[in-house]
Amino acid sequence: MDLITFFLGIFYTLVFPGFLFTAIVGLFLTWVDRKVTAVVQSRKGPPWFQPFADIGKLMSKKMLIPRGSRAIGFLAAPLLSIAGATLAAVIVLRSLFYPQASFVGDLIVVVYLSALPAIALIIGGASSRSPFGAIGASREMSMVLAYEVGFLLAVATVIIKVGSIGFADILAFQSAHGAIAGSVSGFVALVVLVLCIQAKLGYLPFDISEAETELIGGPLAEYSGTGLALFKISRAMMFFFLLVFAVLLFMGGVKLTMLSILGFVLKLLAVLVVLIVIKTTHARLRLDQALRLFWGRIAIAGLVSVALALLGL
Amino acid sequence: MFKHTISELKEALVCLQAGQVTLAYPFQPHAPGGEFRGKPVIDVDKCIGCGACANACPARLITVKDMNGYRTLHFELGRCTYCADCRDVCPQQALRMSPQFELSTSSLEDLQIHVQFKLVLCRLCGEAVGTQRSVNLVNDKLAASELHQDDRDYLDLCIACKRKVAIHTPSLNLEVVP
Amino acid sequence: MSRLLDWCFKKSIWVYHVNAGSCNGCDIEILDVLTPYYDVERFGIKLVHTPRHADALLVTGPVTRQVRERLLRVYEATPDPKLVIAVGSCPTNGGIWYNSYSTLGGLSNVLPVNIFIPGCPPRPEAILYGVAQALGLVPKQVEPQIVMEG
Repeated sequence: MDLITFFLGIFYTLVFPGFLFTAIVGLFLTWVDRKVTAVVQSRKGPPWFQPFADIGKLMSKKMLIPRGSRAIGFLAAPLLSIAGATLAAVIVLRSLFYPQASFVGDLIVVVYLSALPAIALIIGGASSRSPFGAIGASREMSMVLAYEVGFLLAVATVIIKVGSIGFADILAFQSAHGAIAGSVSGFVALVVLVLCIQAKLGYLPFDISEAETELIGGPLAEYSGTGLALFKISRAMMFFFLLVFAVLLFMGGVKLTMLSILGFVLKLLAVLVVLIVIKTTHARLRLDQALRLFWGRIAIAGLVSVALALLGL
Repeated sequence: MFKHTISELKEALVCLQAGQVTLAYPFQPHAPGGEFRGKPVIDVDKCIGCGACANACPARLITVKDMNGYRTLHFELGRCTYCADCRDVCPQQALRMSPQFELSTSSLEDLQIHVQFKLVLCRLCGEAVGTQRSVNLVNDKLAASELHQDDRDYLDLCIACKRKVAIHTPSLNLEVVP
Repeated sequence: MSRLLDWCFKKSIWVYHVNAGSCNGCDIEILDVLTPYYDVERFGIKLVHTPRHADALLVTGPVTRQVRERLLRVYEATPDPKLVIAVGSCPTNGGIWYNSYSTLGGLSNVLPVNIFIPGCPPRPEAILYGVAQALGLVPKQVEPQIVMEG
């Protein structure tokens, strides 16, 4: 591999569409999230630069490491979270803008890379020598086991309908046959995916591991300064990445025309508004209620959508 | 989870109908209405320095000190509870609770009232009788009443000396044999 | 660069509320400030639930002897740079408990305080004004009244 490809790869990973691009757009989308929440709550929200000011302020604070915590796990967890989110975002966004770059099997790679931030949260919480971190880490482990089931069943539905595992083939199928969300199995799988994304991002009603009033931030309780900033950036990046993932899998890709870009942005915002409205109108579930929901009704809905896809619907 | 979804979405619609309820507070003043009790303010022309407010304050933040021919009233407004007992008990209605509530400061010296009055000292023994203003007030009230006009001679005596002078004043009816 | 970080600090303050023996009147007024009616989120202020995430400590109540240990631990757990804001008449000078056997006579005897917000309880607008004044956004409005008869 020659030097130019190497540096181009670094550029793609770190600047566009990698870390910088995803972080900035992701933070901007968290502003949209807070503004929509404010509208539902009848108030004015924060100004547009608020998430950037938050990250800047967190960077300027001293980072305190609790005495007795495993410093390696404590400090590596935010970096692992950022790495997982960056790589997943790079693969998805590159195949969005440049379908020739996608390879067979990249869907599976993206699915397991997107589980890295949750694992990083568990590592960080468990190594922070705090009872809140320990309980938060164990709750996060249970939640990962719960929502990954629905997530994988929804992805399996798409794979069955398209007949191959690769973003380029999924985009080609959708431009030929129309959006996957138009079919019955696709629609059920989209609903399952949206609920699993809600849990993956840690939004109410599924923010059980980070319950602010019960667990004081759960795994994030002992983080401050730069570590907390990195976790928040990786969460913003996951927000952007999962929205693009959902739209790409179920609602088709984007071409370089103005109308197509506008349509893509509107689809992104539609999924965003659905997520936020669910977030602001529901109360937090208990852990056993959430597990029963994900392993019960949502898994059954996922199985139904897989069965309908196998039947060709 | 899905049982309450419909009712919760209806609540969200109600909130949307309410629009934006946020006050424009720091950019526009939002005055308190009615009889709001803010920072106490002394009307220095009316105060006679009697110290009734010092007796009434539950936080005991008013101190009255007589020194060198002057009476000093000092209010430590940092611990004021804005109960207005001082205003209610003042005989001259010199204290009022202004509507000012933006009282934040980084040094406690900004939260004080410090008033100093000249004292009238007893012409025989030099003890403090009262502030010049309170003595003037008594003088005016006696002058207006048409009775007790001879009491006006005793106004610059303290209590002990007033009693001594009254005992040794010759009576009008009897002769005191020494 | 440091001016940029100072701007970020002014625009985004996360507060943590500590009750150091208060009667809860000031706590309820702090809760009122966080409602949509006064909407502090448009200034970037957010309530956090652990002192490790906080920039400003809102302390209410006269500091009782039992709470002093815990208050000092919360202060140490908050990362620099931080602000300490005393809300109410109790932490300002002890309130009406100024000479009680079980209180310590005001917050300035225990922690370095950046700003006092007197009131019993202070109006939510007064709390908002005090936090804005601590950030340097609005001027001080209270002045001592000193009259000497010569």
